[in-house]
Amino acid sequence: MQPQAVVFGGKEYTLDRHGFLDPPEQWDEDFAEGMARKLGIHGGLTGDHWAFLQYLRKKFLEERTVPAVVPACADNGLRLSRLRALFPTGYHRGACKIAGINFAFMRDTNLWLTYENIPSVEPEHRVDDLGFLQDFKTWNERFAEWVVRGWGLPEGLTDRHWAVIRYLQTSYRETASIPTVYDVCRSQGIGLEELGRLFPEGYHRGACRAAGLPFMT
Amino acid sequence: MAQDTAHVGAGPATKRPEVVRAKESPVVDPEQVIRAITAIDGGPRVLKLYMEMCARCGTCASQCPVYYGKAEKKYNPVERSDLIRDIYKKHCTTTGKLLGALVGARDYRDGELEAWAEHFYTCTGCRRCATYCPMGIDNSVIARKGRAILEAAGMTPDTMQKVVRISLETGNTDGASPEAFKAAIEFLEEEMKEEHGVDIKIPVDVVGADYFYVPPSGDVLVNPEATTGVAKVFYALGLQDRWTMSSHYFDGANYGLFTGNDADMKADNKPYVEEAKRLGCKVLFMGECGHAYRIMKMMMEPARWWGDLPFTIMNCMEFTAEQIKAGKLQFDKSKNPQPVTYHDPCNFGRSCDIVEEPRIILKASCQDFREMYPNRGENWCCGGGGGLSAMDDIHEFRMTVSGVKKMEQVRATGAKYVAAACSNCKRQLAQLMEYYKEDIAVGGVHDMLSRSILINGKAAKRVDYT
Repeated sequence: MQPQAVVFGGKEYTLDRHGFLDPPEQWDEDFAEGMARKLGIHGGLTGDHWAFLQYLRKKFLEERTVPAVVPACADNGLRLSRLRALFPTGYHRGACKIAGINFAFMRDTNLWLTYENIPSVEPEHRVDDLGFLQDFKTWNERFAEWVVRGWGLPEGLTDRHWAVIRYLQTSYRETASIPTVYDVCRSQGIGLEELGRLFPEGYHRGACRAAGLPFMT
Repeated sequence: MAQDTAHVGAGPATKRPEVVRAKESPVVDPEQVIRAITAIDGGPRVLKLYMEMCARCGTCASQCPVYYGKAEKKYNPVERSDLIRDIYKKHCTTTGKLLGALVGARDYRDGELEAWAEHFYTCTGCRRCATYCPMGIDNSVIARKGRAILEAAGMTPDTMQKVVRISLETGNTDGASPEAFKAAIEFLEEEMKEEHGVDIKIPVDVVGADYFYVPPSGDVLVNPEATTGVAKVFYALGLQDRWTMSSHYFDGANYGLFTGNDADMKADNKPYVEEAKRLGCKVLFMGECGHAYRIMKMMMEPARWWGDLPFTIMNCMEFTAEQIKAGKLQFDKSKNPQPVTYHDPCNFGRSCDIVEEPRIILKASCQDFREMYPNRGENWCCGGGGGLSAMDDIHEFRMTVSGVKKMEQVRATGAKYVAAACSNCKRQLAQLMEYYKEDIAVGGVHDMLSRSILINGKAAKRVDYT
């Protein structure tokens, strides 16, 4: 893995080979917001996120340390599941990354910090054999993100994707049936080709699946 | 609660000792290296045989995870072992003395040690070669000898030196204070209270408890589910007053094994035995850490480092599996519906024969358990063995050379969760998944148990904050 760079709000930030901000002095709020979206926090950073991030920044900048995940949660009165809900990719790969603490600093402070595994959550969504969501009511943005992983979308899910997904969901909720592909194109004012570009896996296995609709038999 | 535990974060940072780095260019006395190698002649017979028996058939290369990842000469176990073997022949065997280069014998070359530092830290010490070698040669033992020579010359990689130093000074490799540890335990008890609605204790410093639990590094502060899993097993069996942890010694890691420094390894080991005696336990109850268990069970105990022991040594997975077989634990498998596979850590699979126990636990607690092939004693190393997992300066090597085979094996199972009973394996595996952008979670064995075990008839229920 080579050092990478990301652009948030028109500004470029350089990252180390583990995807952490480096050098850390580049950190600002735009970075935090941008990285948060990249790490599955779709609604943007809330007050709860910021409270935790500020705690980490304070530890990092003033005390020159990073606490391990359990002490950090204890200090902030956060349950582990609450932390996971706030930062879906975990503490070190989520919160610390957004707070702009660089990997080398974390490792040198306490090697075991970097031993934290990808957060162990119960699988959030139950899917059938074909990968379709079993219960439409349990859908959230993370499910759509999970579905499109591996599609190679250059910018991930864009506003246009979300518009299609929302249309599908509203329509499914109101009519209890899956709209036809032509309904979707008409509603969005796009052609089949454009839809195909947005959802390279196809209409049913791509768009409908990401929207959490069941498999049409 | 926030006030109760407000002091937690303050502990570790202040206690961390300064790391003394190796000198920039250590002065290496060639005589010292040669003396260390000729000493093999008078040492344990097995290592002496390894020096003399190699038939150079190449079987080890075909079974080595590093050589599989990149078929370069320097990654061939024979070539690596020959660094020492050739010098040994020159000084200690008749043919070597008489025929020299004709039989592969050669003398130590000045400045060679610099290159050794790379070579001996590209062996993961997994011992897979030893399983297949027709002569039974264990190249990991030779590699450890090489590391011991590097250690004596002050050329052990910084990360390794640092882990050993912190462990010797604080008793734990993460350097956390007893107060920080206790606060973390309190936090885990609150977690379990929320999951099950009952008080499940994690006893600390209880003298007279039967079981003294020693988890691997980080399992309390960083990957806490393994510890809550063990606590739930004791609770479900009605043994929650019969076990304890220590607030001073809660980390089985012993990197002396990896640096080749026997004195450090013993010095790191002793406090745990002393603590077990102080607590008066009947069973030294080791956690999901391959090398820690191996040192205790396969080295310290049979070699009688500290004489007779007033306790037995057991691994937590043996204990839990026994209870499952006896029908004493119940599970709700639907809590773990995703396909799960088990990676046999080399130290458990090949060196300690703990292979069925983790499978019994995972099959009891998961709906869809899948084997990866080959497995058990023949499993491939994760690519981070021998302490390599902690070394980030060779991250690229671990990802694109030593870990290649493991990644292929995991992919072939289709699993979404890889369980490994070893912190080093877990770190390497998690980094592999990140590197190859695989959506596969990595964790421990008791972690899965913790999510599905029934306490008073009910599995853990987590508040859904989403």
